Formats: sequence, C-alpha cells, structure tokens
Amino acid sequence: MSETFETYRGRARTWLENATIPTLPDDFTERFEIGLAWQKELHRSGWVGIHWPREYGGQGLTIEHQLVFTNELVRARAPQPIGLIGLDVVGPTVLRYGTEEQRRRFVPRLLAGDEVWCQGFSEPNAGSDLASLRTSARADGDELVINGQKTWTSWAANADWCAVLARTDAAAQRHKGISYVLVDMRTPGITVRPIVQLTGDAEFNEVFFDHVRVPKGNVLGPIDGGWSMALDTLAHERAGYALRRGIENEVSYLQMLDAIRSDSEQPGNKDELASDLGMTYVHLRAFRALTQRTARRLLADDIPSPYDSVDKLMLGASEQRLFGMALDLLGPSRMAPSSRPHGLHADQIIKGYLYGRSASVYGGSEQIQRTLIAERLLGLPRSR
Amino acid sequence: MSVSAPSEIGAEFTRAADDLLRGVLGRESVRAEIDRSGWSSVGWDAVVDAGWSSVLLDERHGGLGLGITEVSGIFTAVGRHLLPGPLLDHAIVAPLLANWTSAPAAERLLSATEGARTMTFLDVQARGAAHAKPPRFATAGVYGEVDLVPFGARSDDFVIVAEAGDGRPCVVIVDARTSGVEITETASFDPLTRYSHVSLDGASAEPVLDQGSTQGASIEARLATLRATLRLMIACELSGMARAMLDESVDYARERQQFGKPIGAFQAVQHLLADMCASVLCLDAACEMDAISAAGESGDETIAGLHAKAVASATCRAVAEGALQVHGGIGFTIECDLHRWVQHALALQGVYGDERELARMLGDRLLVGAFEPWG
Repeated sequence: MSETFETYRGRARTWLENATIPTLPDDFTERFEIGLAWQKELHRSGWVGIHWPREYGGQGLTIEHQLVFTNELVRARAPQPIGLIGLDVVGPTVLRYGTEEQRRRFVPRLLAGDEVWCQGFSEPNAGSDLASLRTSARADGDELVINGQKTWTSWAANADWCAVLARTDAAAQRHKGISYVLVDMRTPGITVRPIVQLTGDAEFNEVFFDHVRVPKGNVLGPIDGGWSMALDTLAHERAGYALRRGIENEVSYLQMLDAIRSDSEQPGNKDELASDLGMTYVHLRAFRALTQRTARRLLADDIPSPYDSVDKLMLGASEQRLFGMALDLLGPSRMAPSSRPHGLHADQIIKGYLYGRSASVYGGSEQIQRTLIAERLLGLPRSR
Repeated sequence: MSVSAPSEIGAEFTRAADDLLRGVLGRESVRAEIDRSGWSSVGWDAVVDAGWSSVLLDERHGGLGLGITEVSGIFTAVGRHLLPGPLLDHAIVAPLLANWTSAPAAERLLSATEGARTMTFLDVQARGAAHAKPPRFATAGVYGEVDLVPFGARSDDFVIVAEAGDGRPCVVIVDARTSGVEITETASFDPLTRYSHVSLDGASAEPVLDQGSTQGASIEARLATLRATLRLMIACELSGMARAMLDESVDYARERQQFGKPIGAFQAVQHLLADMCASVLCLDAACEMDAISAAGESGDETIAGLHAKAVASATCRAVAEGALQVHGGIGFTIECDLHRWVQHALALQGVYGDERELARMLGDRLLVGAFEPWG
C-alpha cells in the first residue's frame, strides 16, 4: 500500500522548501538548460514519473499522487519539468504501445531528462487536417527512409529524439498507411531551422528530413498503424494537461493579485479594477470546478472522453480571458515590457498574453473542439 | 487537489424531484393555469406533499436534518421544469431560521415548512439593492417599503429582514392580512412570477431571529449564511434552466430542416450549440463545487455563493440568447415553450446580484486580501 496523500503532500512540501528552486531566465537557451537541470534534480529525488511503472524508472504510485505533486510544484512557484513532450505524450505512447525492448530503451532516459523529445506531427499543409500529412517513410531492407518536412515542432533544436508521423503506405487512404517512427535527431539528413514565435522565443522549429535512414525496429506499434495510436495518446493526455495548465493559470492570477495589492500607488478606478479582477476570478474558479470533474474522470480511468473537448475549449477561453484582462490593465504600456503599471510585471503579461493566443490553436483548435462537442456530446449530424 | 464527489442522497433527491415535476408540470392543464395566473395549485400542493421543506429542517422539528448538497438538486429540477412558487422561502429560509432560532415565534415558521401557510421572504438585498434601506422594527410594529416581492399577493405570512432599534438586523414575521400591511400587485414580464409592492406601516410583527435568539453565531453571520445559501440555490435553479434551454435547442436543431438538411448539420449552428453546452457544463460543475465548498468545514460559504450565482447569472443569460438564436422565428413567439425559461432567466439574473455586481463584490474582497483565492 502506497503512502497516504497527506503524508505524500507533506513530504513533497518539505522537499520543495529545502530545494533551490530555479527562476527561469528570459533567454530561451538558458531557460532550457536550467529547466533541464531542474528536471534531473526532480528525477534524482523521485518526483518525476510518479504514476509510471517502477520497472521503467517511474515511482509506481497513482495518478492522484501525481496531481498532489503538481499542485505542490505550483504552490512553491516552481517550474514544471522541461521535457513535457516526452513526459506528456511520447512517453505514455511508448509505454502503451512499445515493445518491452523499446520501453526499456526509451522510458527511463526520458524520465531522467537524459534524453529530450520532440514531436513531428504538423506539416506545412497538415495542421488541423493532420491526416493529410505527406512526409514519407519508404521501406528499404531493414530500414525506413524518411523524406519530408515537419513544422511548429517545439523543442526540436534541443531534442535528442523525435516522434515522427510518416506515411509508410502512399496508396492507402488518409488515416491508414501512417506509422509512428522514433527518430534519433543526430541521424544524417535532418536539418532543424528555428522559428521565432510572437513571444520572442524560438521554441518552434521546422524540421527537414532528406533521406533519413531509421531502423525498422524504431517503429512504434504496427507499421501503417500509427494514426490511431497517436490520437489515442494525445486524447489520453488532454485531461492531465487541462488540470495542470488550469493550476498554472491560477498561479499567474495569484502573482498578478499580489503585485496589485502591494502596489502603493493604486492608480485609476478602484471599482473597475475590482470588477475586472472579480470577473476573471469567476471564470478561473468555474474552470477549476470543471477540472474537478476531469480529475474524477482521470481517477476512474474514464478517459479519453468527449468531455476533454469541453475542457480544452474552456481552458483556452479562461487563459485568454486572464491575460486579456492583465494586458488591458497595462493600458498604454501594453507593449512596453519594462513598465510596472499597478505593480504588474508587464514583460510577463505581454508574453503570457501572446502565448495565450495559442491556447485556442494548439492540440486541436477551438473550432475543431466545438465540432467534436457538437457531434459527440450533442449528437448533431456530421457537418463534413 | 482534493477530489470530492457529490452526495449520493443528493442524487436521489434530484431524480425524485425531476420525476415528480416532469409528471405534474408536463400536464397541459397545469401549464395553462401557470400561463394564466403565474401559479399552479396542483404543482404547489405536490411539492408541499413531497416534503421538500423538511430536508434542511432539524430532526428536533421533525425534519430530515440534511445539508445544502442534498437539497440543491431539487432546485436544479425546479429550474428545469419551471415550478412557480416561493420554494426558496419554504425549503431554505423557513427551515434554516427555525434551526437557528430560540425565539418562541419559530413555531410560525413551521407552519410554512408544513405547508399549512404560504410564506414569502422579504429581503431588500435580494433585489440587488445592497444600499437600500431595510424596514424598521420597533415594539409597535414594522415600518418600511419592500418592492418586487414575488408571490406577495398569495402569501399568508411575510418573513422580513428589518433593522432593530439598536441598528442591528433582525428577522421578523408578519401576518400578511394584518392591519398596517398594504400589498399592491405590480406588472411582471416573467410568466413564473407575479410581483407585489409591500408597504408596512406599523404592522404587528414578532421577531423570529435576532441577536438574542441566534444561539451562538451573530445575527449578521446567520444572515450571511442565509444569503449565501439562497445564492447557491438560485444558481442551481438557473443551471437547470440553462440545461433545459440547451436541450430544447439541440432537439430543435435536429428537427428543423433548411436547405434540405437539419440546421444542426451546419457548422455555424453547431458551434453556437457547442459553446452553450460547454458553459452549461461549467455552470453545473460550479454549482456542485461551490455547494460542496459551502457545506464543508473549511469552505467560505459567502465566496461560494457569490461565485455560483455570478457564473449562473452570466451563463443562463448567454444560453437564453443562444437558444433564441437557434430557434429562429418561432423562438420569438410565446407559442414556443422556450420563452418561459428565457423570461424567467432574466428575472432571476439580478436576484441577489447579477454577474457584474457579484464580480465586483468578489473583486473588492480580493483586493483587500479578505480570502485566499485558491484556498
């Protein structure tokens, strides 16, 4: 029997109180390095892969323990582990669909932060319509030869491995004929071109594959069977993501509130400020209520579910409302990162606002989510 | 994060209330009576017989002694099926006051929970008028004006939040037919509510709760709990209404054909309905979480009440507008059932504050650090 949540929470809190919690710097490369070092430290002390099986480097506890620790990280204003693509998406897919050999090879290093992953899904002509992807993986003896281009690939310039969706059967219909291939980023023929985002960070990249040779043993699951695997895992991870991101937004709100409260000048209309803060609180707290149900679904293993689309839609809306409000509090300083109106840190708010605009796009745009809700929750006829 | 689940008994009450109200309020004759008079004797008798007013009432008064998470589902069903009548007054105000007070006049509250007399709660704050002056209570009687009293003309008793001689609040009970009480019916656009204006000029009154009879908590704290509970229950009612309007709209979008297919096959209509659905689910979750938080030891009931009612007011209004849009021309007529929910939603939006007012109250408290936002 694992330890109780309360003891676990206490142990996590004590550990975090004694740990040196890093502040993530502005510079993207430095931020990545510091974040990775933080992940390694968390892992050494047993705080990464909390609900993952012990035989692959996890702690063998429950998802509820993981939720407790995520909460404690946020409470301590500590950053999340950096290798989130690996931890959130690729790792669970390998655990679920990989061979024993693949699990032992990839999962422990991914948890330890020894290997960082990126995910090559989107292409210049395959965004929301991901199944129209064209990157090909042609069989040649014991190898696949990959040709094509991926885009919006987060962390590709820092990653050791990439999970690539590629077409292994050019003749098959859209969703069929796609395989999930694990590609070593040091393989000859891969070119990475960073793309600077609205926030100023170059988290995004284009990745070009020019006759990249990968052993067939690096295909995850059956050849031509990658599509449903990829989607299933993405859906599985959505619930956990909504919970974590919701808490992060609550912390951002708390930091803004702290800043406003300690601001001695308190300029402007107090009533208006109270209204704005109050209305944003109403929305964030309602999202918290929604994710309490998400947590119940997670614990009951009732995922993926069409309700995940509701979470995704409401998460985007509450994050954008939060930073939209904050940006408006900056007034004429909306694009002046060094100003401090109301005591607020304009730089964080500007970046948060700009980053927040992606919350209704990434991982399935809000339009896609609305269509899913209409079809799967409301039982309306297919519109396509 | 603690993951709390809703109560089992609460779910039972919800199902029972849903079945009862669907049966009674589904009848053509009952709906005709409501449309004509804003009241249903059959409906009101049915809920009196169902004993909903005894759910919160202490066992020493012959009640069930349960809490707000158990009673909340009844109000969701009331919103869904649109029961007219002072149920909040009977199932929330009367039992809570009776539970708290040691005043002899508490007996008179029990005639409301037993259904022998019809009682209405008069609180000037319910009309969003936090600054409005409550009636004054002196030994000779109670004096003042209360506007927009729902079901005032049908009441046997008024339970009134008044200001005592020492400046502190108190709650008194007045026979609606005694001298010094003047009840004037005023116009109402809400098919579920008839309003009255009540003038009190020395009407004979007995205190049912004052600082001397609260048994521990201050009178101000008791009133805060009462108002928080009322806000939560109105939120549940609005949640049931929003759900009903969504369901009506989805049914209509499946049925109504244009361009040779159901309008619900068009993406523009689908996305409107999806947004309504997401906000309805969010409201339902908020009502559940806030009720659990208010009922819990460590929860802040005032904050929970302000929050639930703010979400409910904003959501139900937006869902009503979306539902009207989906229904097109027919939604703009009283031949379509939708109008009852829409108009009742607008009436309830401002009771104990609309979303703007409540958000400001929350913001004021946040700015001075009156509570931990994620505590």
